[in-house]
Amino acid sequence: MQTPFEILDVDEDASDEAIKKAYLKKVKEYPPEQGVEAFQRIRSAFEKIQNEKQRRNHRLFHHEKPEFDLLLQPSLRPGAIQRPDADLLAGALVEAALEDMLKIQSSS
Amino acid sequence: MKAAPAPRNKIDDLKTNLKLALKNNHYKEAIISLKELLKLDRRPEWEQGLADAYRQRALQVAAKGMWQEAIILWDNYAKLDPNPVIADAYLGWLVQAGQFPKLVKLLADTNVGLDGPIGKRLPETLAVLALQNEKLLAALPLEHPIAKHYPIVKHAIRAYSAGRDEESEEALKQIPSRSPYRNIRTLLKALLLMGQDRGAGLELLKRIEEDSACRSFARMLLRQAQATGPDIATLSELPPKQHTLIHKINGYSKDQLKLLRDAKKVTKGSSQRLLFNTVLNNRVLLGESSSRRFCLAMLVHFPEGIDLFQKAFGTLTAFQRQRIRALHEETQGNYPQAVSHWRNAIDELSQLHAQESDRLDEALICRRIAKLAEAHVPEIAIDALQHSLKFDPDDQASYVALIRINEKNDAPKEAQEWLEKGLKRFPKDVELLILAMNTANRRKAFKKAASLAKTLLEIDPINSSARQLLIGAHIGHARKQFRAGRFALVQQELDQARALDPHRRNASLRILEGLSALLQHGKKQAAAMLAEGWNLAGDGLCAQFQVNVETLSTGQTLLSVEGLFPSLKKNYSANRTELSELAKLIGQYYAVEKKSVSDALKPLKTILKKSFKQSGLGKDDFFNLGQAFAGSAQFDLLGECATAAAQQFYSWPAAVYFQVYAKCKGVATRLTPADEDRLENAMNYAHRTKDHRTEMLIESFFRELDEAEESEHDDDFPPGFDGVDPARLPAIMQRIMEMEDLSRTELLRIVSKRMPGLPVKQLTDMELLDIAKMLTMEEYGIDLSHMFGGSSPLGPTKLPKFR
Repeated sequence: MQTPFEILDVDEDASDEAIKKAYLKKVKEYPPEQGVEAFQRIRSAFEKIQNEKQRRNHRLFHHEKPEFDLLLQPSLRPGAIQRPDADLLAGALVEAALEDMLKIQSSS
Repeated sequence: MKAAPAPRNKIDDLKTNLKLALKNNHYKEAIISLKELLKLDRRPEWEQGLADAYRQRALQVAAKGMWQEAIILWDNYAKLDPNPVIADAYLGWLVQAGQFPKLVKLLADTNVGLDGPIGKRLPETLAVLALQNEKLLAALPLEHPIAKHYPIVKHAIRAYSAGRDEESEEALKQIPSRSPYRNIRTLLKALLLMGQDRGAGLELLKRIEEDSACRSFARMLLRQAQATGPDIATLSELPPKQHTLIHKINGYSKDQLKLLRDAKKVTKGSSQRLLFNTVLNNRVLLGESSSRRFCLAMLVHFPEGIDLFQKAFGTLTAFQRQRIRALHEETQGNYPQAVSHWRNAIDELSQLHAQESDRLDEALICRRIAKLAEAHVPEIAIDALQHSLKFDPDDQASYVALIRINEKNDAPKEAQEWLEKGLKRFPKDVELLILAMNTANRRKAFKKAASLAKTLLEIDPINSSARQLLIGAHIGHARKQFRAGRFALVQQELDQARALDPHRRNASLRILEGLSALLQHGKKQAAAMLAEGWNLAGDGLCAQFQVNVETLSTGQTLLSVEGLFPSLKKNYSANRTELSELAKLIGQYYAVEKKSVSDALKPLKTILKKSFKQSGLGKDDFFNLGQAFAGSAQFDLLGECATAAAQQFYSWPAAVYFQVYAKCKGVATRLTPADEDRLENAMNYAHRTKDHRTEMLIESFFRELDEAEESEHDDDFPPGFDGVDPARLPAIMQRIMEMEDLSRTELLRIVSKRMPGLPVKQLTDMELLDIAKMLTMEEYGIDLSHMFGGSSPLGPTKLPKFR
């Protein structure tokens, strides 16, 4: 789960003003009419950190379990592509095609 | 020796077995029975039956992945059926079983329809399979496009793998756009492009046809080869070859591959320890600061990791350790332990910040403690909230919480104190003003409630509860002026109420305006207003009741308004909605016009008694009516209502309670032993059926009985009342109650006059009221010194410390 600071894309020591600015920017990017879920996520993040008291509250009491995948993601940014050998590429293609066929078979 | 069964019997047995097998979808058994039957007699329907059973059994075994067996069974079906079909699924089984010669034969047969989802992609699937299957290629005629374009595709793949991009691109150009390899061509082009521009390559992958055999592969690449990183959740679920391919395409280092291997072990169900250790062991690659933040957040769920954390990232402060423990206990639902750790955390913070002015963290933790303790030990919550205000005095929510918890905790005086303190600090706070207004109204301090409502409307002009309350206050005053015969003042009050009700929605107001017109100008002028009031009041039972109450409350008789309303006929029967509305009206009016309510109901008794039986009331309706009649001391109506309820809902505990309550006229000491037994049974029944509201009512009635029995052993009057004439007591109490209606100015006048040395301006409204009450009680000769250790609290040097 992303922290409210990450959702609004602000530093943890950002001021009230900077947070509000970031919030309004995000709302422009994800207006409620385009998707209520995204908007609510942004709104809820803003409410959690919009002023000093809320931010302290968040720091003292938030206890959501951190998500391992989110920690992992930046460390698994792809590097330079290594060419797979021909057999591996063909093998993976066959593997995927057979798997796909199996899915069609079980769905029909 | 037994004779062999006659063939007729055998056929019957086999037919029975067959029927049973088919009914239960046991096609294997059905096949055996049908084969036996055919041995006895080759009937065409059994042959067709056998064909169908083979077909069904083929589908059954295919569902278990037994492709070879499924193919044999389907072939058996095809031999027996005069018009066999080639099922789309059958093609899939042949592919999975690697029966390529058969597939190639089918592919060449123009009579075979390939329009199912498998058939449509069959040529392309075979083209993909050909990349790794010599036998398939051998089965194909040389001129078949799969065989013909195979060497070109193979060359393109080899060239791509060896990094000879130009050569690969050249080869791909030779593949025609209708070739079964066309999507592999797009795929290879995308892979070549990804080397230069990952995003553009991934974009090209989206162009692969929707029903292509390469679509699944393309989707997997799109998910796992993103520039921001792979889709970790599904990466570990990939089959081995695709998994390895992604590692290559993403260009992972040895460390990244190790991290991926470790991460693969951490599944959703794995232990917190494993996750914690995985992060600690890979913290260099994951980033020191991110790993620290992650592990710190993990500690709340895995406090056993505190030592490991400190070894890796350095010592935690004592405050942080307590915070982690407290949050951990919260997640486990161990609130007392959580509170204890939060208290320790405050101690740690207080040592650190003793000299600092910013104590917000301590205040916030106190409020956290209050939240945790509120449901279990409200005293702790109250204490914590009070404490929090020392660190952060401007927190309006804490005042509101203190008022709310004290009210809930049956401490109205304390609630009132906090309300006054809150209002002193936030005089224009709407929430506090509403609370104060409602409290004053509940305490029947109507003047005060009206004054608060006025303030509230100045700040929040559309506040409807303030508006209604103010209208109610003006109406109340108008009734008093009516009784005193001061009609000019009546009109003044009604005009003020009217200004607050511009849309003329208030029935009471309209009726009173009519009554005022009647007294001042005669029937003609009054009729229209009264008719309008009647309609606003609902034109029925409730209208009649409201007209009755209002007329009586102004000191007039019901006879004086007769003929001015379409009054109810004696055979009128009120419906369910009217009765439930009446229950509400009785409650509202009884709070301000006790005597009038009772007299207003008298002429309606016949209608009501009949309506209880005829209007199809539910349990909730009866309960609300019962509460209204019990609360307004209408025992006759209560008894009738409860009897009607008991007839409709046999042995319903609430009906029993209301019957008994009506019989005793609400006095617990009048309970006979038989009534006590009835009530006890009803209470037990209510408990068993989870009818908590009735259980509570009966319990409270029994409590009254217990208290009355206990007080029989005490003195007739509490200490201090010895010299007071018992006959005067109700009047004294009435006087004391009326004092709650006095304004602050009036209270100040009373107290200052009697206690000139007292710094009255420093006192809160509540304190002033208490002192004024005590002074009045002393006037009546009640000695209060026993409450203050022998000396009067009102001595010239003593400030009130009577709480």
